Amino acid sequence: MKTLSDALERIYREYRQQLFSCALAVTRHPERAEDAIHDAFYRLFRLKARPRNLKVYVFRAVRNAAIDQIRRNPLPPDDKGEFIFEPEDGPREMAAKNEFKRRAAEALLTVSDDERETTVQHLYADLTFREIARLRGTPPGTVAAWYYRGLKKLRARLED
Amino acid sequence: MDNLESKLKGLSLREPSRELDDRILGLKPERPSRAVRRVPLWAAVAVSLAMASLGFAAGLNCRGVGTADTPGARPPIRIELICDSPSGTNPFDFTAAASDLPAREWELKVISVTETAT
Repeated sequence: MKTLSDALERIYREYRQQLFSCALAVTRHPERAEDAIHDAFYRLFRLKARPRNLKVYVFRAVRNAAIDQIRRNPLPPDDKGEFIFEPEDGPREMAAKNEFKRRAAEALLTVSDDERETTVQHLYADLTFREIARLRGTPPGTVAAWYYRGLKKLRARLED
Repeated sequence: MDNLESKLKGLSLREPSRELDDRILGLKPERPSRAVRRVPLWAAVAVSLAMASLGFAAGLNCRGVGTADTPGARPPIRIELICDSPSGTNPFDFTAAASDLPAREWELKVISVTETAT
């Protein structure tokens, strides 16, 4: 029989990239995102009862820890931070792709927090609207609205 | 998924550091989580009460009530009452309350200076 600790380890190994991207979408700094994941798993490994949907519970714990990071050490007003994309692709990457990545990162930082976070959770963490709704505590319709509104703003900025 | 979503999804993502794996996996407790192995409280209480009842009943059965005919039974308590003792004293003190005496068979022996009766 799998223990809760084993299940948490499996979720971490399977979703480490997605958890990091989601935390980074909130903290905007890689070190803070990693600290948030660490804080969340520190608490998760001490759980006394197994939550019903462990995957969603882990994503929610990491998100809450990331928000705590920002509350404890707010970003300076002029610090836009870093974003979820690799800063520089390899030399074989086309320059146009690097340019698109730079513009996408900038565009994602201009949309609202809810829209940006939902875009990252749905597009890069492969979470469904229902899963995002459960971890955010909002109706799925609201999540879908955030996503499509954010995507519309991104389209306006990236396709002009 | 439309063209823009595909292009966004195709961008390479920043990866967490290798140190993060060590930090997270180092948090994992060695022993299995108590959440899986924990015995319900009601079961622990029921087993404890059952074991205590069995132990109490076994103790009552083993102790029994001893008699002089039973091998290993304790001998009766013997009291010697000396009449007309020259010193005026008796080995058994009748002046104190005897409420704490053990519940056993008693044997009273009256000793007289002139004759002895049991």
